[in-house]
Amino acid sequence: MATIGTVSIFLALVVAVYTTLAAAIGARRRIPELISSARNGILAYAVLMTIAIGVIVFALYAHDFSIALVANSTSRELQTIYTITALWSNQAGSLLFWSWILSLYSAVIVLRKWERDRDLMPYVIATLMAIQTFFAFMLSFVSSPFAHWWVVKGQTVMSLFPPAGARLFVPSDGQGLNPLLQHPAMAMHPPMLYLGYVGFTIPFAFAMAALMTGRLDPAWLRTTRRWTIVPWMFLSIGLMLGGRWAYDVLGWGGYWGWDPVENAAFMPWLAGTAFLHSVMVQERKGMLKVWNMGLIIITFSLVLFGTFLTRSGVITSVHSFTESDIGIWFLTFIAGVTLAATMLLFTRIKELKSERDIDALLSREAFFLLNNLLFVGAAFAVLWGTIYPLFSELVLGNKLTVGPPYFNQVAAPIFGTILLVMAIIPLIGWGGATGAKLLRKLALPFAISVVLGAVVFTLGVRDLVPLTAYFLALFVIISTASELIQGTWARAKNTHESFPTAMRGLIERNRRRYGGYLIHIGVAMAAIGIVGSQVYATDTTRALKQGESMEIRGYTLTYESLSPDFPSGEGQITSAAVGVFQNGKRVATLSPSRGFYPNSGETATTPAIYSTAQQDLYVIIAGWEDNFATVTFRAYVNPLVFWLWFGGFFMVVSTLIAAWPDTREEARVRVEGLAKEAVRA
Amino acid sequence: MEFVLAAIIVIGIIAFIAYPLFTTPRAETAETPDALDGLVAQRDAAYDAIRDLDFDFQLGKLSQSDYAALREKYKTRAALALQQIDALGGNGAGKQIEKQVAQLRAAKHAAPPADDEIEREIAHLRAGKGAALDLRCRNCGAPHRAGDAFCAKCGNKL
Repeated sequence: MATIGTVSIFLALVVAVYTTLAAAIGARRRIPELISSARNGILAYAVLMTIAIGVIVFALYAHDFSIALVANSTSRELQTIYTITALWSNQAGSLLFWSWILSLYSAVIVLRKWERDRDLMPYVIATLMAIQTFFAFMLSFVSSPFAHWWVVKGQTVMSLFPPAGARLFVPSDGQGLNPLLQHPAMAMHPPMLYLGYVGFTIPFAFAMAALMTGRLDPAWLRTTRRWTIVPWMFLSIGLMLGGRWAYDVLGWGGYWGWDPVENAAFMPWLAGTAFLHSVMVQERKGMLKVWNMGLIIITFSLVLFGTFLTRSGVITSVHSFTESDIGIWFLTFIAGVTLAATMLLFTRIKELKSERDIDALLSREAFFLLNNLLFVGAAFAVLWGTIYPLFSELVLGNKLTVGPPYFNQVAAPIFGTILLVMAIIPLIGWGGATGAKLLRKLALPFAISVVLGAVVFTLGVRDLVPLTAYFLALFVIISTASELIQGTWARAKNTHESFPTAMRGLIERNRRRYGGYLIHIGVAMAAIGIVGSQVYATDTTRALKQGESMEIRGYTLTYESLSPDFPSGEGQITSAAVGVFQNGKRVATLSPSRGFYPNSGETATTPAIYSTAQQDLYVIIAGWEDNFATVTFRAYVNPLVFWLWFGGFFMVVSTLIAAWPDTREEARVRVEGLAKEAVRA
Repeated sequence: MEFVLAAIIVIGIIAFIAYPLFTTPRAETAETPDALDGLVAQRDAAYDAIRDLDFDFQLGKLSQSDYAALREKYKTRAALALQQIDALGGNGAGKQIEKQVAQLRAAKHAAPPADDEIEREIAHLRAGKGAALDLRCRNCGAPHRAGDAFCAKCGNKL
């Protein structure tokens, strides 16, 4: 069965090379047959990747330990769901997954009607398949999902083809999955992230096609609009799931540590957010064209860099980088893509001049430009902090670590300014606002926010930084809500609809703008959650005998009972029952636990969480003595963290609202298509 | 057995990819005028801008003079784009588009009043199709054509 998989991948490589060349030559020499053939090539590649993934998923399900991927990542005791999702827990599997998702996206792009983008499509195909050529090459020769274990001269070797004199080694059971990955959030986190990462390849391919053909009008932006916001949404979900997983599984009370792997996903999100906003200026006013090209190139390069960072382990040590197979290849590919794209941009830079200048500082365009600068600044600050250990090891010979203090210090002012921009922008128009008008519009939201800020102050928030942050987040919510309410009221006056109907009509008529405003409200809620939990978290640690209690922030926690060594999947779980009391009344019974996983020798600490809108009570077992007679508990109280998760959820729902197909837009597309036909007739 | 399956896959894929090389291509690869896309995008951008302007003015974000000036600007732009679209397609295309738009409108829910108004105003401007739009240099008052970048008389940037 592995043979079919291997053949599919090798054939996919051939198809990728052929399709890239066919699309490029067919476009240059205007040979429609070649372009049609290239179109089939993209579909064929998707079929081949689906076959390969099908084979490996079946092998996982059937515990076929003759395939090294299956033996390395799963075991017979592992639950089925984690056995399947173990596909993306390892290097080869995740490369295959990446390529498969890109092949599906590419197939969808090719199967839709081409009329609007006839000139661009062959070059889009060529770009996509050039990228796929790299992945197919890696999957064929560098990191194959169908490699086996062989025994040769008393040593075990993992490779696709047998070394001389080797015999196949099939272990009776696999090594199992890292216990930290055995969690629903972790099962879904890579697919969401990849749907995001890979999704950004599509606007990148269209941008390259626009540069290659010289067709630089905003048509490519309109086509890729949905292909930008949907990946952005998936990337946001992926980041949220990663944070939630860290919170639920790692047991240190937090959800974000500015870890290189976390930053690897955050950087493309920052650049992608800038791109998402900046394209509106080009569509509306024909400005920031060079910015938009630059931003999509930066976003895609960061996507590749993020994949590279996560899969190659380079940041742990620059020396582990050479031990990993894919490191050098990936780095070369990223450098090549970025260089080629930038050079292409420079050849067209004269044609990308803005159609008009920014007339006023107090205009939407100017604020969008500021927005670009802030997000790109944030991305580069995070990038610098992430690669600094590598840089210092290479250049200074001394590995310096960069931790949360640097990132928090740099991120806070940038994100604070972004919040301020988010608060002002709904009230400012295109082309320019008079200062007086803007201040008048801002006055009421500002006043309400100051009052709420004073309330926050009286509730005990005295430090300037969190107080300012809360104020700005509240300002965003009040300002955006006021815009929504005023817009609804104006519409209701025009159409005589009821308030709810008018609001629905308002949003449906301009989904991008009002959906976007709803997303901003979600972001502000998340910001409130972040500030509360980062600045005002407290914790306490106590060793308790059964029946004893500890206190934290108005909660009384009583160690009530313990059930040791309960087998579950690959692990043995020990969990304690902790009663939570407030004002003498029981509000919850929590079950923090520790699991021991013999396959890996690792212990996983799982917290138990009692969550309210006001704060989370987060309890873990820190240790035990005397055969569980005394158990040490650590309890955290994280204020407002609920709002981070709720804000994230709100963002995602709002993105669906913003991205939902618009019947009027569809009608407009039909009219354009008809106009073309009429012209040709 | 495995090899048979693998062989079938290989042959199938190669056949699928090679097939278009031996058949005549479909119409979708024929060429269309590039300019049309750009003009349609310009027209749509102008419509969006007018719609948003009207709404922003209603919400009090613009002064009367700013609003009037910007609205004129965008209306002219929309009318220009429509003129050029018509010019590309000859007389037939414009009427075709109008007919189809009316049909689509009737099929879906009635468009809100603002849209109809914009359409009417722009139709007014377009009605002067034979005569050129009254475009004059801000500096010397000499007439110029649509799309000119500099005044032919005094050299002022338009």
